[in-house]
Amino acid sequence: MSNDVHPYAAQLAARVGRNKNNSTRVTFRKLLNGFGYKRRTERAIEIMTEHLAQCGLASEFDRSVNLDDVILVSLVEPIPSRQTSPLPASWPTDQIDLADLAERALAGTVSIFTEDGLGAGFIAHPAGLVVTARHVVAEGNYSLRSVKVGMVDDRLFDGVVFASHRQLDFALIWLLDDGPFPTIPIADAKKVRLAQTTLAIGSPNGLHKTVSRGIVANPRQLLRGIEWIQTDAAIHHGNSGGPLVTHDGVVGINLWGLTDAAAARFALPLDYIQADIDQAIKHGKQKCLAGRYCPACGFIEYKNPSWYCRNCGIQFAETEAK
Amino acid sequence: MTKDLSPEKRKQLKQAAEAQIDAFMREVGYDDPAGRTDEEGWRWFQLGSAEGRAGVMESEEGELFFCAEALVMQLPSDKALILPLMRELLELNLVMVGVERLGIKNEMVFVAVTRPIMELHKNDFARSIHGVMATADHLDDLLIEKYGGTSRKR
Repeated sequence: MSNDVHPYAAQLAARVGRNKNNSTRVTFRKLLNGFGYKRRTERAIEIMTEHLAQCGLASEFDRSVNLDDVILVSLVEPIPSRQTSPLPASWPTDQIDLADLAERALAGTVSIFTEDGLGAGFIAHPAGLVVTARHVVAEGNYSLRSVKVGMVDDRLFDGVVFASHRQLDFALIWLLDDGPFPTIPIADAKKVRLAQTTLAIGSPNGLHKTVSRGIVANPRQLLRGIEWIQTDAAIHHGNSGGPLVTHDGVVGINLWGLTDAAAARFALPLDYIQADIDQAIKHGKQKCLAGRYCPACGFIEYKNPSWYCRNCGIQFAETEAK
Repeated sequence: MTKDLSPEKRKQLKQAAEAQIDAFMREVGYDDPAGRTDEEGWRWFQLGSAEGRAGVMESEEGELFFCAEALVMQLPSDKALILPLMRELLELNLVMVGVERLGIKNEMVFVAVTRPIMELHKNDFARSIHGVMATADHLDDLLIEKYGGTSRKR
């Protein structure tokens, strides 16, 4: 088994962390399904135990437990804070149906609140790394620094924008809480195929936790110098920044669409920003937040920040004045 | 210098200049200039893919300026595109015929003209607006094609 934190284990850990008695209850069937298994096998139990242990959790299940029995999942050791372990690699895909897929992806989807409105995003790392659209966190010409981020269970956290890009229209946010948070594993967007099933998740017109289904209409639609994943999954205002998901995980950020063409909704393939995500995880939350973020171009300077942005040249005093 | 004039005289001058802009709007087919004027007094134009505006603005000192500007493109985020774009904008500025110039406002590249209205003749309004709009319409496709995307590869 790899060292990756399973998103369902992270989700359980978050639930445990919220309860005063450091435990939560779940049916054995749900636990199995949560880790991608339909049937109980020795191997499944072994792997689930390891996944739970990675999050400092333990449970008692053996061959005597029935599928509908409620079992206790509890904390055996403190959850490590500010962890920056590698990203979850992928879901075990062979047994996931569409409803399971939607539930898992929804758990890792967030709402982004600003004074100007509402958008969506998703959690790419259990320590609280959120991916969203730059236009969701922008006000006028410049990116905001602070936003509110809402979880699917209605908890609200403070987030800090620390990297973004105007043309690719993405932004990265660290949540100030340590988590762990439920994540959506990032899949290889280059492997997205024509007519593959996709789910778009977000808050269209303010309707939270909305999932819409579609297919990949074109995996590499070249427009404005960028290759987009084109889908017919319904995307409206409030979907911006949310995940476009396939059975392998999240492959894109839902960004925009043509109003008069239902099959023309566009998501940014995540491989465009994989290096930014990797760098954020490598540097960790504290270093990212200590860096100098340029609200104009979205560049982050980790070392020896200057009075101007070394990427776009803007003078920071000018952006602060506005 | 309009700042030395009385407020009443300045108002008359401003209205006269705006009337010149409105006359040009009618000339190019906008039958209702008031319908294309925003609350700040900007008159909005469209030429091909370019969108622009013209108006008379007053400085804090009371000087009246005729301004026309049209959007060319959004600045790129990638350093690998920003640097050559800046150089090309300066090179274009040097050789551009007419009074319009390329520049940056906030995160946008604009073509613009700003002139004291006392220096303008009657035909200068139309010529300046047309120059700005035509330049933007010509350059936006070329510059967006070259610098509008990203230098990143998948």
